[in-house]
Amino acid sequence: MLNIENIDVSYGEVQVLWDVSFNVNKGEIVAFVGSNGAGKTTTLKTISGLLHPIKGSIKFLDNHIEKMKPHKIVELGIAMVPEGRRVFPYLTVLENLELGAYTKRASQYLEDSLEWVYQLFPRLKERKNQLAGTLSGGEQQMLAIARALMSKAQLIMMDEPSLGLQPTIVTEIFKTIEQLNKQEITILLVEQNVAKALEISNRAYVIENGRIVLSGDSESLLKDKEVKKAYLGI
Amino acid sequence: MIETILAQLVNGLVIGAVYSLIAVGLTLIWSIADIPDFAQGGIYTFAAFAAYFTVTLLHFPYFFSLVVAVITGTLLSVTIEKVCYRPLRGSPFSQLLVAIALFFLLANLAIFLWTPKAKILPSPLEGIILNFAGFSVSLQRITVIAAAFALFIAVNFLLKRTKLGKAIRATAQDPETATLMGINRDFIYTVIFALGGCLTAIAAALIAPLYAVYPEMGTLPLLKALVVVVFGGMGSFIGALAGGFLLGLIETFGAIYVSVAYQHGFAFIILILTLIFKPGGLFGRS
Ligand SMILES: Nc1ncnc2c1ncn2[C@@H]1O[C@H](COP(=O)(O)OP(=O)(O)OP(=O)(O)O)[C@@H](O)[C@H]1O
Ligand SMILES: [Mg+2]
Repeated sequence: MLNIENIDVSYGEVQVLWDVSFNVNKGEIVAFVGSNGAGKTTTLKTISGLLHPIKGSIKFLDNHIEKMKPHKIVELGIAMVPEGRRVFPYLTVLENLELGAYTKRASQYLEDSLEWVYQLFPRLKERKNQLAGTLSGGEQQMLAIARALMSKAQLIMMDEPSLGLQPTIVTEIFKTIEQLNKQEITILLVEQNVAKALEISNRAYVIENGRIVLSGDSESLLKDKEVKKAYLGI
Repeated sequence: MIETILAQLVNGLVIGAVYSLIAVGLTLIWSIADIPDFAQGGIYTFAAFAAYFTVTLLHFPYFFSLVVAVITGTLLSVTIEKVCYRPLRGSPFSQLLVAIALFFLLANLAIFLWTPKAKILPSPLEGIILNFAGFSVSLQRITVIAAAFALFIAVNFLLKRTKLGKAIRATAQDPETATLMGINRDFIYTVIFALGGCLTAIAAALIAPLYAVYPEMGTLPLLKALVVVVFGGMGSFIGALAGGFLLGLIETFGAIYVSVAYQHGFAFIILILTLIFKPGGLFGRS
């Protein structure tokens, strides 16, 4: 459903992605891993339209989206859970969720979507009138995921959802990701927690210094000697 | 004695209402688009002239001239954003220079078009004097204060309760993430500049019958509204509201009890004190 072909991306003069190509099929969880500064966030930002490639193409369903603005791309059905959660701190939990359903397509399902995400994250329901900035880190991450779900997206991109969270919450978040995938949501998952990411994903890509250096199904990557040495510390 | 104090209280609230109206628009524009929009000073003047010509040249009633002023101010503000600020997005310093240039350009254009001579905008409300136990005040003054409060309630409702308002607040808090929700940033900019131009225009057309209509009339209100934004706290609606009225009252009472000579200086004393002791402003968030 998402096809990225040979994109180059730069910040001003500094190029950070070189000839990146990969694809995500409907129903998959695809992991996108690599060390700090490899270009993972840059890739997700380019897909969501916050950055535009200087070369190459990005196709989602039947649309070329590489030149589209972010608000149009959301409308097509791609949502992002940004790095660092980025909830709107001075809006309530409920207002954050309502904004998740801002698009015309999503707003007609607002009530149903709310019920759905409250069921997934009962804690958000208890705190719906609280300012998002006062939530704990784990709760903010849940809110960021729930907010993306509100958009009724078919593809959800998550940028390091487990970062800085305590182990029990990390487990909970990964469980939620698998659960969402069972509900027909396709997921592109960027993670530092490579072991966990490979465990729950169908396929994975490894990016280094702005280039894709390895790809394959997650199970065999988990057993790969290079991957073990570089990312799993074994 | 008590009558003078009451009269000055009304005067302070009237001038404060003008500062607050302009400051509410300015603080939205400044916090979201990152532009201290000096051009609102010119918009204030043009809106007042629009009202003046509607009444004196076209002979429409004063109430109708308020509508014409609002349309003029709103269109002017939105056009300035589209034509002058948007192409410079990402270079705040260039935008600041353009804003200041527009401030002088619009005032000079008004002098060129209509001469520097002050003109009188007649309003039927100015002739209606209300008496409260020996204390009298014109209906025009009461209208300025009442209209300002009605508008603040409306703007507060827009920002707090509507979907559009939530999108505006989200854009103010995190513009990049807001676009990821499907919010079109260009559209939000158009809305806040429209709102700013509209509030500025109403302020101008409401107060014009009490003073006069002339090309430089926008200068002091604009500069003081900018002070109010800093004083109240950048991006704070309640700060702009409270700060505007507070400045109006300080100026009016200061003119009597301290010195008339300082009337227009109080704002800048407040600005300096704010920057030194409370740089975030009264209601600022950090
Ligand atoms: N706004 C920016 N301007 C210039 N360079 C940037 C900018 N953002 C990121 N970079 C650079 O681009 C490269 C890739 O950054 P990116 O954020 O995509 O990495 P990442 O894989 O997400 O890393 P992390 O795991 O730390 O989040 C880095 O070298 C980084 O310094
Ligand atoms: Mg990153």
